[in-house]
Amino acid sequence: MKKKIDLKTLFILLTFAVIGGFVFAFSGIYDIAARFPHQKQVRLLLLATKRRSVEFQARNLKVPELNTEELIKRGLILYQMNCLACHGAPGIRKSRIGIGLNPNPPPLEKAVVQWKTREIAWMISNGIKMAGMPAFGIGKESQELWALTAFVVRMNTISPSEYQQMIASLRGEQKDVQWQSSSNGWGRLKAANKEKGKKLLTYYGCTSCHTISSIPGPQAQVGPPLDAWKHRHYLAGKLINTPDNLVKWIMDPESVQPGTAMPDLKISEEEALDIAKYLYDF
Amino acid sequence: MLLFTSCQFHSSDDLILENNYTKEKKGKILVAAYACASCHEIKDVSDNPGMIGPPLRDWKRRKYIAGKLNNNKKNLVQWIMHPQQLRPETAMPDLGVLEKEAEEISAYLYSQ
Repeated sequence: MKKKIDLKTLFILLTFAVIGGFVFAFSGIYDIAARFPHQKQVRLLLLATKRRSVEFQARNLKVPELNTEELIKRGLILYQMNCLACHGAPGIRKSRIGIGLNPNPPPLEKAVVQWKTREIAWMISNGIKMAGMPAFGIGKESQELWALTAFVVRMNTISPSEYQQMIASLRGEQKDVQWQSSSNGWGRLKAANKEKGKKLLTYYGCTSCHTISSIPGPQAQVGPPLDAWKHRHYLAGKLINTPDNLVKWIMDPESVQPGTAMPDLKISEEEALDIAKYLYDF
Repeated sequence: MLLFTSCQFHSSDDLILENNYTKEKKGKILVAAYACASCHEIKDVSDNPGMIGPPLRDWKRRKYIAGKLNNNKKNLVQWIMHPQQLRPETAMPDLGVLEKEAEEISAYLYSQ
């Protein structure tokens, strides 16, 4: 008896919900303006839907070797023609088309950190509904999707000046451009001492300018916070955040960024490697 | 439930004309529209902070902009409008932000 009433109530509630939904949709009360961001709950739901959908749909895609000069070079040409307008490139603005879009076309520098390579390829090929992302799996680009994917993957380690060099190289104005991605010095950290690095960060007074939450200090905001440093993409606003670059920056900041507020503390290479190992939590 | 939370009761005309929104509120909308938060961690705007640029939390306490300019409103407005002039080679692009918009964005950054 009781069960019957529950079902009836449920049915009535559902009917009201459906009618309410239609009234809401047709009333015009929902503001579809791209200029105003979605409410946070909606944004999070959409992001989660996208992530799960792409992960699931791309699960069986097989990725070939992409770190080749030929693919990356061709990928850059395709990127310039098809992606730059909305996504921008290292140090290069997106065109007017990509500004004011909602959802914002994300910068692709960290795409390969946030997505698997096969998922990037899937998104390029299939596009994303209601997001402004076109499907490049149709038309002439569909023959060269791996080249585009190869370049987006490589973009993770291209600095603004390297990007310019690559463009100059395509025009035949520059030689000796490194197309393939390299090791970036991660191997150099193997022999370094993390605990010593932590002590050096206090010894050299790094925490009197930078906040590093795992080290007690004044929570200073003179320089940028160094928490979660390994997730940061750039160093000094222009170099890719790699062990090679970080060690160079710690040892001689002026050579990297003339006029910087970061002082040269005469830190040796060995000490800089220890500090780097601690910051990267390697 | 979803339908109700997604309801936004503001008029689009309000922002085009001068309106009664505070500078900070306009700045927050611009931070989202210019996608500042897709590179920088910014309070209440970034859902998925990219960490491509430095985090901007606690911005009012930060001493320098771009590692060399004093962090004040005048310099921040200039930096938002012309990063490539102030720091050639910087990864931060010139997005064509108007001066008025840059002032509103800086108002939001200092308020967060």
